[in-house]
Formats: sequence, C-alpha cells, structure tokens
Amino acid sequence: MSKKVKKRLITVLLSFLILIIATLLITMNLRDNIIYFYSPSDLKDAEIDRQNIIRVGGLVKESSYNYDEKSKIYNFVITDNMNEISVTYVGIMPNLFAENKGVVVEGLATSKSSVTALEVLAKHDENYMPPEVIEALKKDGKWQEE
Amino acid sequence: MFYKLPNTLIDTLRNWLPVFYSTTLVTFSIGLYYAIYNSPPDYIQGDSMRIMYVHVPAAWLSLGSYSILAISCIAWFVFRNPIFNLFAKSIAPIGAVFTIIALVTGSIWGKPTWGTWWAWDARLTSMLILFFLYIAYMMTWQVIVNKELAAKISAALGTIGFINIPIIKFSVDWWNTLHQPATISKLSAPSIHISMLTPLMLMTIAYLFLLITLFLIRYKTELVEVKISRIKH
Amino acid sequence: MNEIIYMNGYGSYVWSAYGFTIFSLILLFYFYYQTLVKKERKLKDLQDKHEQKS
Repeated sequence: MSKKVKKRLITVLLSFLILIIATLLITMNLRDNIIYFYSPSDLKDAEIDRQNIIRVGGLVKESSYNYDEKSKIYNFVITDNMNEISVTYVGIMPNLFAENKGVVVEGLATSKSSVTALEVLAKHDENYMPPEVIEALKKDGKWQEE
Repeated sequence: MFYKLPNTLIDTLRNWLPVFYSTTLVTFSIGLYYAIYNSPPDYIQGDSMRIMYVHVPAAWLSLGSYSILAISCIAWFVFRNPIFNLFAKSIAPIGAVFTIIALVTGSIWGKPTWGTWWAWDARLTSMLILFFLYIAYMMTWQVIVNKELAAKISAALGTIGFINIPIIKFSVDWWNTLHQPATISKLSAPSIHISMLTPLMLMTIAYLFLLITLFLIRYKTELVEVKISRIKH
Repeated sequence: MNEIIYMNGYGSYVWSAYGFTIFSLILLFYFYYQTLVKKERKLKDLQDKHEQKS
C-alpha cells in the first residue's frame, strides 16, 4: 500500500468512527422520540400529560378481554409481566387481536394505569408455523405461549 | 493490483449474461410456485403471511445493495479508482427499487395484520430513509455537472448513509417497534417452520440472481457510456 | 383454483403485493435492457463515423 492510500484509508476510517459516535449520542438522547410505544412499566415511571396522545404496548393479559355488546365497549388489560394497564376502546379491532398476543394502543392516559384507546393495532410475533404443526406440538405439550 | 480482480471477474460474468437470464427466470418460477401454492398458511396470520416471501428478500437485498454501494464509495475514497463509482452507480437504482418493493409490500401486509398501512416506528422510518438515501445518491450524479465534484459528493453521501444500515437491522431490538423482530438471525435457531423457510430461501435466491443480472446489464451500460464519452472527446 | 385466488379472504392483499413486486421488477429489467441496447447502438454509430473520418 502506498503512503497516500494509507493516509486516505485512515482519514476515511476516522471520519466514519466520528460519525458512529455522533449517531450513537443522538439516538440515545432521542430514545423517547424513537420508541413507538411505552411499556406499562415505562408509563408507571413517566410524567403523564393527559392532553397528549400516547402509545402503550405489551401482551393482552389472559382472560382480561371483555366486549360489552350494548355499549360496544372493549375492555382488556395490557401487561409486560411486571405492570399492567387497563384499556377501554370503542372502534374496529384488528383481525389478529387475541389474548396472550402483542398489541399496541394509541390513546389518552386517564391515569397511570388506564388508557382510553383511539386506535388498537395488533403486533404479531416473529414465529411462522403451519396450523398442523402447532396442533401436533400442543398435543405433545411442547408448545408454549409467550 | 488487487482491485483489477473484480474487473476481470465481471468481464467473465458478462459473457454469462444469457445464463443469468434463464437462471433468474427458472428460480423465480420455482420460488413463486412454492410461495403461492406449495406451502402452508400461518397458524395466526393465515394466507396473508405469503406476502413475506416477496417482502423479506426485497428488504434483505435492499440492505445488501446499500452495503455494496457504501463499501464501493469508501473504496473510491481510498483508491480513487473510477471503477468503484461504476459499481455504486450500477447498484443504486436496483437497491432503490428493492427498497420500494419492501416498503409497499410491507404496507400491504400491515393492513390485515397490524390494522394499519403505516406506522412511524423505527424500522419503517429508517427503511424510508434508506429509500431517500438511494434517491439522493442517484440525484447527485444527475444534478452536478462537474463529474469530479459529483464523484466526491456522491461518495461522501453514500458513505455517511452506511450508518443507517445497522440502524435498520437492529431497530427492532433497540427500540419498541410495531414491526416484529428478526425471524432468522445467526444467533438462534430460526423460529420458522421448514415448509415456510423453503419458499423464503428460494425467493431470496431468485432475487439474488435478478440482482446480479441487473447489475451486470447496468455495469455493461456504464462501460459503453465511458467508451462513448471517450470517442466524443 | 378459486382457493388460490381467494386466499381465505386475504386474496386482495396477497395478490396486490405479488402484482406490485413482479410489475416493478419487470419494469426495472425492461428499462435497464432498453438503455443498454440504446447505448450500444449509439456507440456503434459513433465508431462507424470515426472509422469513416480516419
């Protein structure tokens, strides 16, 4: 390698290193803006502004889901296995909404543990399996819900 | 010099273009047959997860294309050999189209699964930025008349954009996103059944062959252009 | 056959995603190929003119 090439290589690598550090600093400081939703635990520690729309995400707690046909109100609880948030919602539920599955709701916090949702989104996981395989796994007792 | 190697390699590959045409066509046919017909639906998402077979390979290769572009830009800075600019210029439009495919098919997939076409989460936003980076790279060559200046600015842009690639890749692990985390990573066994992994891999190979074919066509075009400008002057 | 088109209700999503993908890939290929053919023709014209001059 000639001296010139070596010098250029070092310059490029150094500037790239500076770029990485700068990006790390920026993204770490902007974490609150980058995350798409808060977990129930995040919300417990956060200052709540009741005027602002927030998003909360986690798993739909088992046997917490309830639909009132008369008032058309959905009720369910979001959990991250440490803290819980109860959600009230009127509107269209996504097809993949289910207990023990991921969900993200957008709405207004009424208190540190309750949210009135304006929109509900299903957050699916990264597992892909044919239905027969799941049946077989369940039969053998090898399938675990998250 | 060692950078002569890619040159001779590509010269040989160019003579094989007809073979690449047919291989691309054959792999796509097999891949699509598995993706649409010869694979089971998902236990939760049903048949909508078949969109994954066109979405994921496009997303993977859009990141791969950008990595090649950025490394070419860095290599140009170090060696100042114009061949690296030809590499980067040849791959940029392909990467841009792959990115747009990933964005659009992802959006179509999002509606029946998440319940929304779009969300400004870290993965989707950084992917949109990738698309703009490709566009910006191509624009610099179009807009700046002075080719020496264009080479410098585009190479700087391509290099700076490289930082976005790990951000896209790890966005789903670093921040809460609506997008699910990676299914296939080297650290753990893939959580996808073999009957679904097969069409995914076949489609990835098909996309890869298409990428190589398009790259060779474009590279040949760039070389012809160089010859034209040489005759003109 | 109908099953494949219907996709258990997801047909419109799946087929529009596949349609968009294949359409844009073919368009890209066509555009690339046409440019190559055009440029090669131009080069040949220039080379012919060059030979006539010299």
